[in-house]
Amino acid sequence: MQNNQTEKKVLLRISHLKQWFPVKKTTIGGEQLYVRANDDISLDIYEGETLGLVGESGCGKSTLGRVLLQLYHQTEGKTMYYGRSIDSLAPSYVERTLKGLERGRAKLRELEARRDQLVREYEALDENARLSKKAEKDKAVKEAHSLFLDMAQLVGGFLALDDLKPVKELFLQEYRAAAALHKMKDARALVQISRNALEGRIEAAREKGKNSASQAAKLRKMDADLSARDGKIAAAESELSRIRSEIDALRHKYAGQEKFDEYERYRDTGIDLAKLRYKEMRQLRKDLQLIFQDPYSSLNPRMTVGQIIGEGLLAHNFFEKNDDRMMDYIMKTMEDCGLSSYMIHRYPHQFSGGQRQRIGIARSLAVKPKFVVCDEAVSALDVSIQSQVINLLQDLKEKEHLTYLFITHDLSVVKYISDRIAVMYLGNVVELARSEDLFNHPLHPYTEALLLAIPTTDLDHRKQIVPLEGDIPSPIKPPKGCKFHTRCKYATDACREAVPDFIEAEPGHFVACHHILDHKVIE
Amino acid sequence: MALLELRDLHTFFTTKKGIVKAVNGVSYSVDAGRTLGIVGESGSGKSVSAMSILRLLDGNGYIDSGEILFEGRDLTKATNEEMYKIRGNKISVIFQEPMTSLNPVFTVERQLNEVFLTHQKVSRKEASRRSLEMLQAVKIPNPTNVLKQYPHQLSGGMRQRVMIAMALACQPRVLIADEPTTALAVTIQAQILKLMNDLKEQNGTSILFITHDLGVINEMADDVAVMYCGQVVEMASVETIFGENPYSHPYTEGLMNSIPRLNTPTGVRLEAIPGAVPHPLDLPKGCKFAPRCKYATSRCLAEEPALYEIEDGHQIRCFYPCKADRTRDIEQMKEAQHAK
Repeated sequence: MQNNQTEKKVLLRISHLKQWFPVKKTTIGGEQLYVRANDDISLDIYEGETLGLVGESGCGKSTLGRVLLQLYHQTEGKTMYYGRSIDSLAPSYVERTLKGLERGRAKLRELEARRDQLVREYEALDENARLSKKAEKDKAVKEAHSLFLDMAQLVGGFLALDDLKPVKELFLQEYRAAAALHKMKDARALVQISRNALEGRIEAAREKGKNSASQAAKLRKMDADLSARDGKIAAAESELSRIRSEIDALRHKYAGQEKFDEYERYRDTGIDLAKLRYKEMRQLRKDLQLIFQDPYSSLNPRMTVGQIIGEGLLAHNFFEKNDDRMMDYIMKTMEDCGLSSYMIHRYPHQFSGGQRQRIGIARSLAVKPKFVVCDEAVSALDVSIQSQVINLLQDLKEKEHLTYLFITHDLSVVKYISDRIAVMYLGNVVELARSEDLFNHPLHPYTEALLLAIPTTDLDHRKQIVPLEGDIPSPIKPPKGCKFHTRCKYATDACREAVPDFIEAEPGHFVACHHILDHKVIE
Repeated sequence: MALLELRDLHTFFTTKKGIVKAVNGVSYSVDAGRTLGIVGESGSGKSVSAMSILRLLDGNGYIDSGEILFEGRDLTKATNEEMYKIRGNKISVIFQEPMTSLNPVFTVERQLNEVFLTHQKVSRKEASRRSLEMLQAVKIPNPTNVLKQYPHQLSGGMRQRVMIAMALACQPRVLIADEPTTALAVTIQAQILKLMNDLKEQNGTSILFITHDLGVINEMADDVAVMYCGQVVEMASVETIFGENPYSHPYTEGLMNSIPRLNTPTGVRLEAIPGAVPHPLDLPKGCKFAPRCKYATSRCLAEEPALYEIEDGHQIRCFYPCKADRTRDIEQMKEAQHAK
C-alpha cells in the first residue's frame, strides 16, 4: 500500500476498516455478539471524483459513510486523510507513537516472527486444508502489517535502524515545533476574525456618518498584535524547517541502504482519522461534511435557516458572533444553493421537501468542505425535485472542486452521478469499478443480480426483472466463507469455506469472488 | 366493459384554511385482468383517488361528486354495510408500509384468519387452513412457523408478503396496491413485483398500481394514468407513454427527461422541471401545470384545458399535445425575442 499518487491524488484511503456494534447479551456469561456492519473494507477515494456506494438496505453503506467522518469510533483499520498534511494538525497520536517507538518495534518483531511461522505452515498444507487455515494466516499478516504501518508512516526508513533513540528525539523535536506552530496559527486566526468583525462594524458606522475614535484605536491595536504574532510564527516556522533539514540530512546519509529505502516508501503525510482525539477531529469536521437523507428530521425546527447555516460557521471560527459579514456570506451560500436570500429568517416547516434538502446542502457547503458524504440525499424527494437537486449537487461539485461519496440504492441515479461505483453486500465491498465497466460487464454475481432486479423505463427490458431469491442473512452471524454464497447460483465448496480476496481483476476493476463472471449481462 | 370505473370523481377535504380539492374531476377505468398504473408526485391525489373507491378517507374527507362504478353499481351510493362486504373481499388494498398496517399485538395467523371469518362462513380451523395456503401461495418459507409469529419478527419483504396474502385471501376482483414496494430494497422489490405479476396471471385479478417510480410502472402496468394536482393529465397504454409517440403532455415529457436512465451519458445535465407542486389551497387559475411548463402560453395561464382523446386510447389534458409543434413554436418565439 504505497503512496502511489502518480495519476490521481488520493483524498481518503481506507484500509481494513471494521465497524462492529455490540449486541446486548441475552444470557449471563454468554458470548458477546456484534453486528458486523462494516467488515474489512479497503477503498481509495480520489480527489474530485464521485464515488457511488450501492447495496440493499442493511448492507452497511450508511455506516461506512459515517465511519469515514468518524461519527462512530471505528473498531479496526485505518482511514488516512490526505486533504491536509499531518503537520498542519499535529495530532497527539504522533507523539504517542514516537515515544513508544522502541517498544513498538520489539512488538513488531514478535508479530513478524509469528506471521512468518504461520505463513510457512500454510504453504506446507495442500489446497483443501489451506481453505480453513487461510483466515488465521491472513489475520497474522494483517496485524503485523498494521503495526508496521503505524510506525513506518511517521518515521519511514529510520525504522530499519538498530538504534532508534537519536532518531526518536529528532522526530519528537519536529513534532513539538509543529504543534507549537499549529497553536500559534490557531490563536492568530481567532484574533483575525475579531479584527475583521470590528472593521466591518467601523465601515458600517462610517456609512451612517459616524466615526468612533475608540474603535479605530482598538483596530490599530489589533493590527499591531497581529503583526507581532506574524513575527513569532515566522520564527517558529524557521525553527521547524531547521529541524526538518536536520532530518533530511540524516535521511540522505542512510539512503541507498536496501531496507531503509524499502521502509522509506511507506512514509506518509496523511492523517489517520481513526486515531484522532475528539477535539482534533472537530478541527477536521469542516473538511468532511454530510448531507442527510431525510430533509424533515435533519433540520432543527426551532432554528431559522440563517441560524442553521450559521451554526457551522461559528463553530469553525469562520466569523465572530454578530458579524454582519456572516449574514452576507450566508445569503450568498443560500443563493448558490438555489434558495432566495430573503428566506433567511424562515423556519424549516415553511419550506417544501426540495427546499429543505437545499438548506441541508447549504449548511454542509457553507464551511467549504473538501469531502461530502451524500447519504441518500435525493431518495426522499419527488421525481421532478430529485433531478433539480442532482443538478445542483453536480454544479456545486464543479464549482467548489468537491469529492462526493454518494450513497444510494437507486442504480440509475448512481450510474448517472458517479465516476466509480462500489457495490456493498453485508458489510463488505464486493465490487468496485468505473461506472460504465460495472454496468457493462459486472464481475460479481451479486452485482449481476442487482442489475437484473432494477426496473427501468426502457420498453425493451420490460417484464424481464429476475429477482434474487432469499433475504439478506443476519450481519450478527454472517455466513462463513463468501457471505453471498447462500443466495449465489454459482456457489461452490470454495465459496462456503474461504473468504475471497478483493483483487484487481482488470485495470481499475476490483472484485471479491472465487468465480469471477466472464460474460455480459446488460448490453 | 370496465370492471371498475371512476367518473368525474371529486374528493375534498375540509381544513381550517379552506377546502382542499385533493381529487378534482378524475376519471379512469380498470378492465378485468389488467393493471392500471397511476403515477404522480406526492400531493397529486393518486392515493386519495384510489382510497375513495373503498371510502378509506380521513374524517375530514368526503366524496363531493362523481361516480365509482364497480360491477355496474355506484359505490358512492352504497351503504356502510354494503361497503363492509366489499372491502377486503371484492376489492382489497396493499398499503405502503407493512409495519404500520399490520397490527403489532396479533399474530399473523389471527390477522389472516380475520379475513376469512369476516367474509366467508367458515370455522376457525378451516380459516387457519386457508391462511396457511395463502402464505404458501405468496412463497413464504416455513409458513407454519410464520403463522404463529408477530409482525415485528418478520423482515420488511416478509411483512409485505403477509399483506399481499391478506389482500388476496378472498380472491378479490380488484387489488389496489398503494406504493407496495417503496419501502423495500431493490432485490426484495423485484421479488414482490414478480409475485404480484404471477398471482395476477393465476387469478385474473385487476390491479390498480400506485407509485411514483416510473421504472416500476414500466415493469408492472398495462395502462398508465399520469396525475398532477388532483387531475389526470395523460392516460394511455404503457407502450405509448414510454415509447416513441408524437403526442404527450409536457408534464409526462418533463418526468421522462428528468429521471436519469441507465443510458443517460454522464456529464450531461438532467432536464429538471423547474419549481415545485403548487399548494393545494392556492392552485393556479388556468392549466395547473402552466407555471412550471416551458411551453406555456398566455392561453394556458387563463384557460383550463380539458382531457380529450387525441388518438385511440390516448387522452391528454393540454392545448399543445403535439411534441414537434410545441418545440417548433417555442423556438420561433425565442427567435422573435432575439430579433427584438
